[in-house]
Amino acid sequence: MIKGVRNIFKNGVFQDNPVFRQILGICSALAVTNLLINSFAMSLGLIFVTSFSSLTVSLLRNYTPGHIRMMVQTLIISAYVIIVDIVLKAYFPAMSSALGPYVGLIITNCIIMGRCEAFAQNNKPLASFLDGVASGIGYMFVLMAIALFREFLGFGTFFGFAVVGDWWTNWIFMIMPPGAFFMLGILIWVANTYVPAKEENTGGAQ
Amino acid sequence: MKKMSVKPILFMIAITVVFTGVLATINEITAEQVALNERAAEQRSFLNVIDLEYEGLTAEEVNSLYEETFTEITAGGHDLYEAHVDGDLVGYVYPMADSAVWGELRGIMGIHRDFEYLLGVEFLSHNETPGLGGRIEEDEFKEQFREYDISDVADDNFVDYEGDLDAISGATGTSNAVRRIMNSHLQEFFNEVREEL
Repeated sequence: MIKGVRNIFKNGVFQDNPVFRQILGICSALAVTNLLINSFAMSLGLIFVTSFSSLTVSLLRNYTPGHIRMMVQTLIISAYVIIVDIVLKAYFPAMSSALGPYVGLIITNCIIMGRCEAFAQNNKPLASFLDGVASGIGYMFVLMAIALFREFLGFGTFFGFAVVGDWWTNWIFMIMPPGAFFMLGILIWVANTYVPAKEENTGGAQ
Repeated sequence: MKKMSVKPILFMIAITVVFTGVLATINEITAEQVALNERAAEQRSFLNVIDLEYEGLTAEEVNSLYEETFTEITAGGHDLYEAHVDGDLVGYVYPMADSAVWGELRGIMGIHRDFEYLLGVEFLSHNETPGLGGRIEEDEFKEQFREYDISDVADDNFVDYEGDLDAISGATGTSNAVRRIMNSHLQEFFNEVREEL
């Protein structure tokens, strides 16, 4: 059991990381990563939605007719996204306006449906819940890494605190979407070099 | 031919009812708070545009401070607000709206009662690029308009990026749109509204 949990997390965060391995959830990874605080809130929202969607899908998996399962998954995911959106609007209005439309767009985040379909549909509820958390953390890890560099280079700040003096020239390029493409590309490059790929992918001329 | 089954349909209906019910309940519980937050956000902008302190006030307190400060009036066919602090008229809040770079920009200007200078400027809603034009929302840009002189102007060019007023670097389009919108609404204010106040 412990080993199973460790495997879920190892896969979700590193070996099968949704963003740099499966290239899922790229849209929001590019959109909200110019400030660390936005990336952090977005990631928490996503962790909540993936974990609870996976849990719910898994609980219902034995009752859901196979050919309408996608429809059911979409319904479940959107319900949780709306909950996140409402809670942000009611209790964290500043964060809600900073994230703008991207909270609603969690619905279209491929990571969530990917995990529901690939894992939760065939696994027990608790394992599915943890798998959702793990994938969410993997997503958070990438977002925070990209945002760390984009915020630092683009604004010279760390979580909004200035860390360099007046001599610093902001790289406006990093604040704009193209900056995210470059950072993500570099990150995937680094990850492919240092995070060992799974057995079946290694060996042989590639 | 495949047999048509009603089970999936019933399942879908049941699950939809359950989830909609849950969402409707959550929405009902938070609706009041959400409405209050939305109203308070706009009211904070009004208080800020005439440089009134509201730091640390709850949404309810902001609401009552707003109520006792602002009165809506009409002059020269335009709606605007009078701002009173401790019974004295401090100035006027004049709304502005026009298209900027990506969409409509809505804002308000605080104008001193002697029409000599601006009290401040606030942007209520806009669609400018986050991190670039979107930075018009930041204090660094807005605070430049505190006591900004509008008394002596040639060619109705009230606001211009020279001297103490800096545009946002990297967002020339938005900066110019703000200048255009503010100038046209100040012209409107001075030509049509001012005599009737």
